[in-house]
Amino acid sequence: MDYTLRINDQTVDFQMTSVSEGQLRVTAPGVDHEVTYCMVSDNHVQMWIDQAAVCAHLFAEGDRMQVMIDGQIYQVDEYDEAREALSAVGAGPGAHREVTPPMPAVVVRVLVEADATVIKGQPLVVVAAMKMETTLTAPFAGRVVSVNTVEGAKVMPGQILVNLAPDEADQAA
Amino acid sequence: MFSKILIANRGEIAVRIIRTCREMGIGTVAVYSDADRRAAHVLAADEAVHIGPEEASGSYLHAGNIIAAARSTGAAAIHPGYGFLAENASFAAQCAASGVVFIGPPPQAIEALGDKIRARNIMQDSGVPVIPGTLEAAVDADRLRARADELGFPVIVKASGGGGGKGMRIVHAPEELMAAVKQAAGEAQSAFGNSAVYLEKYLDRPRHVEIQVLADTQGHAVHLLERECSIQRRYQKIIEETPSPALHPALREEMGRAAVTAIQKAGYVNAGTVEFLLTPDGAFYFLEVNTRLQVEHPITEMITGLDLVREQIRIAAGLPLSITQADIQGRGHAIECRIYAEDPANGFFPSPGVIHYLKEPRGPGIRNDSGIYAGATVPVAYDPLLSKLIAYASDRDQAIARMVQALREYVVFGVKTTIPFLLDVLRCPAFQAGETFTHFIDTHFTPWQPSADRIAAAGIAYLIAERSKPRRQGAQGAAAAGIASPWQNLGHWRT
Repeated sequence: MDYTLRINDQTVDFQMTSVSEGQLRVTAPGVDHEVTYCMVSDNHVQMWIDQAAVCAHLFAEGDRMQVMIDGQIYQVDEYDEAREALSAVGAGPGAHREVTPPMPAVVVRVLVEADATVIKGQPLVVVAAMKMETTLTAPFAGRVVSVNTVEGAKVMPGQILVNLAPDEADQAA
Repeated sequence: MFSKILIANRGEIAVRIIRTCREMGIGTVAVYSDADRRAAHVLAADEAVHIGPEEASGSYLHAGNIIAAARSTGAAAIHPGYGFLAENASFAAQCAASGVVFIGPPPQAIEALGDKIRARNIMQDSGVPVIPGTLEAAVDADRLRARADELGFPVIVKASGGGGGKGMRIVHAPEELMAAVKQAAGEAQSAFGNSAVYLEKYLDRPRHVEIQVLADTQGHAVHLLERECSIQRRYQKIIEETPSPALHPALREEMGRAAVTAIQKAGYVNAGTVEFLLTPDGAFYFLEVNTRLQVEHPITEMITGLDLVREQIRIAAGLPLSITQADIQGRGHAIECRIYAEDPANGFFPSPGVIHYLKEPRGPGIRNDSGIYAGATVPVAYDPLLSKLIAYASDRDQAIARMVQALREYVVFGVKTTIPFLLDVLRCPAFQAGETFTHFIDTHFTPWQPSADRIAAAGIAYLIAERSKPRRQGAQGAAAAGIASPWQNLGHWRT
């Protein structure tokens, strides 16, 4: 069986054949592996890949799975062409086009007003959390449509703190 | 002995103090803010008192609320832990005035040693070498410039009232000096309410080596050997070890004696730490005194076999030290790694959230002082220390190997942690060779990206887990993409 997985930012093809219960042959990417395994629990699989022990822990979050091996975390999901096309349009915070805090925070200073013209990278809002201050900057050059927060406000990821309209020249195709 | 102690802190240190109290048969009172209603330390204590809102100023820093909690529960003593009010002389005085024993040094010792300029003078008078610099608050610009010229650049401007890198500026050239003084003073004023600054020579490639001391109310004082804490990121320690690779017995004894002499002169009681900087030529210079139990105290406990919290409680109860200097022997090697809820791949951004899954390392010589549990919330409002992982073995190489395996076994899902970064540091040849100095992280690990080189294994694990699940109903993928496609409905079993 063929699978295409997205692991962190890499797309990798796997071919997997079941040999017997608890045993697989996997080719990925382009290298053959003999795999024996034991699913210890929903969160833990013990594997022997080419006779070397590999301990992996797993945690599913919706369609994605976090896999931890040797202290490192890998984000794994199936490569979905339709989903890739949607996210390329720029919807959603993953496109880095929104002025939103990366974690729950408190607004320390608002640096712009409505109708101000900003350049890319210009500081817009300073937020603080866990004794650290971070400055949110303009992801593109443009005009401030509205400022949606005030000093002292508690804000969450996903909340748009400053609404920016991009310059004509800067709009994505 | 006290029948009940209130722990004026949270997180791992509160849990750790409660543990010793339990062992001693002492009742425990936890205090908590709105953000900590179900925190580990609250669940571990016999009683818990709500003391205020998430903002520390209204809760963990609120002396009045904490003392009121002690009085209402009948706690005879308060252990302040570290941070928060632990080095607040006013809080210590208020405890005494309220008839509650403060488990720590007397207020005047906290005050004298907490003021860095005063501490430098006390050390100087006790014959302890201090970092060349000024011994008074900077007032006169000309005199300051002249002194800086004498010392030779680079110099460092420091705040007398604080630490942790705040109110500090390194100055490389004479023309930068006055601006640096102004900035440092301003930062110090807002961080500590005290704008006094002083100068020190900026030492080249120093190691941070500190001496643990204990003093009772009957004039006995001992040192419990050293800790090296040179692996720091932005002046926050992240890895500590003992013994220090740079110390030999004669130097250890000299530094230990200097530390004990100095704190006795300051009238110190209870546990404290005298910090020094060690230069490559083997000279040591006083840096500051921490008038509290420190985060990294467990490594000293591992090599000496002592329980420092127990000693603190005994001293506060008026008992004499149970050990003499001759009794103190260091055996083996201990390393501590601080596990923070921070994303090392993203500028060490704090990573608060819920711990969805947790598996802690185990085995001989492994100790994990933890403030979390699976299902706990790591709040935004506080220092993101999850746990302190300690590895103890018979020598340094074995301790490093033991720590590496323990970090590999430590699984946390739900928040990002510094575990992958710590693994890289411990595996780095310079660390293994003991070439640890305070610029280690800047030199070797700035910037840092995760190695993440087990891509194939991660994919295999995913596929095994997926095929072990009962077959999905199929419609989920299609709905998410907003596209109705028979190919989506086949789920994973397309060939």
